[in-house]
Amino acid sequence: MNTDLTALTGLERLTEVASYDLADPGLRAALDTITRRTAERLGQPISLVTVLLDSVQLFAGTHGLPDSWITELGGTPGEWAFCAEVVRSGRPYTVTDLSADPVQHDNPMVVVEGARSYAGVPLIAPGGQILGGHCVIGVEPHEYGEADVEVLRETAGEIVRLLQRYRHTVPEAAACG
Amino acid sequence: MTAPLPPPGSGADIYGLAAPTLADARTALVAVYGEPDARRIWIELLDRAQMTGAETGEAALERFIQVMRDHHPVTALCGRSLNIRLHSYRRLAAAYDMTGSEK
Repeated sequence: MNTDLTALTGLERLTEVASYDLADPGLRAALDTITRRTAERLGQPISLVTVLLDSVQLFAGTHGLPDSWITELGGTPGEWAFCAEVVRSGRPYTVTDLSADPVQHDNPMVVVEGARSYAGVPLIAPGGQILGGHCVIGVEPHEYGEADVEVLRETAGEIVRLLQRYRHTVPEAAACG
Repeated sequence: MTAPLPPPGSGADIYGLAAPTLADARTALVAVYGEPDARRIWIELLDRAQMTGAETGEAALERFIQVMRDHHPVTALCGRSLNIRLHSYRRLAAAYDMTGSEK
């Protein structure tokens, strides 16, 4: 797994993340609906909308996560987040077999939770900050093609437009106190 | 979907995750705000928490996290992160204990 979280700690990105009311039940319900649709369209059991904080990922919308403490907690350490890769690179990220992948093979989401394949794209705010990712996760190895990525990309645009309805202004961090 | 846990490693880390401490809270503030602002915010948060910064243990960390979550929205995100890392570590440590006790 990738333990370098420095790409997540930018103040401008986190200020943008903090401007969304991710706890709003209406937003959560809408994101859950979108993830269910994405999972169906890509034929995978799990789909997520993730938001990356400074050292963890939050599940802003989910479909298909098993009942576990991770689901109950609503997020994981950032080192375990496949979507951290799309925040680092700003590009789609796909892995056919996570258990054979040199970066992800020792990730507890693979070793303990049984994730086997991943395809995700970045959620890019209008200002260019990368908030997190929209992804599918499979429990069997699976090769994702450009058509799959395009579905994720289109849906990511829809998610970002939805998020704008739950955005408010955050005061400058330098003025906090 | 859950597979058996492997045996614990030689250190305190579990899957690369160490038990978060108060020092990690300060490190998070420095990473996000940079040293000058982080120092100011750290002192302010300690004051609000009525702590010295030398405290150890999960209770102290939880108290500090709560104060972080009542601060600026970005500091609150850092507090939320620490909370998830703390609970993740607890759950993994408990799973290790169970695995060990079965052997």
